[in-house]
Amino acid sequence: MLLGLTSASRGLVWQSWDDVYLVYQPSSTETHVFNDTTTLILKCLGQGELSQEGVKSWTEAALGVGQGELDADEFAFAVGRLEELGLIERSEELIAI
Amino acid sequence: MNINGDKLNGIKKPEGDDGRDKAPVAELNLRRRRLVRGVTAVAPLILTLRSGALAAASCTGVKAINVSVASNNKPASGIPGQDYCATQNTSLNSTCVAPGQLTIDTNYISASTGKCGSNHAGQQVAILSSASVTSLLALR
Repeated sequence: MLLGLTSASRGLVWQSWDDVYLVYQPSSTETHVFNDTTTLILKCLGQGELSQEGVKSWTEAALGVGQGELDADEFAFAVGRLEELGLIERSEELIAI
Repeated sequence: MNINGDKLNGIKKPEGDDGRDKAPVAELNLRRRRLVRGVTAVAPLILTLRSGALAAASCTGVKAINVSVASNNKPASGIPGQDYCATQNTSLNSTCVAPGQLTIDTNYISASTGKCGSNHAGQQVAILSSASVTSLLALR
């Protein structure tokens, strides 16, 4: 199962504010507050689809923390929340036969 | 804008094995912040401001209104000689407009005829003040 950005996430309007980002989502007219970690999850997926484990590993590297230091439950919850907001989506991995 | 100061959707896929940079973003700043704030700062933060009033107050785009244009190309509202007509690239569902949602006419609503600069007869357009047009162009 791969994660990828939705078209809604590509229309986000970002504004940095101290240590966080205020992010306006035109598709829902909602405004979100993201920190660096959430921002990096989206940035990673902005470069192409990747497995959830791959995104977690990339995000940890980008944050400069050790592999596994990003709590798996917290990461999974964030991914689920981003899905609920319509910013990321899951797709089946294509397997060549 | 993202953590690099760039728009997130402007990120280009780098050449390489999996297309992901190995040392992606302002790492020194991130590490410095994290040393100060501790490990809890690593946890993802996602808060959504559900209040419509608050969302409107924190509009990061510009204000515009949704207006119909008559068959003679005159918008239903807007001040000739001061306001602009704009094509709605995506239908406006709020008065807070983000860059990319609109294509702005290069001229004011004509002071002499009251018509939009381009032909929008029968369409819905967005009407913006000249100040909003300036802001929108700066946000792009």
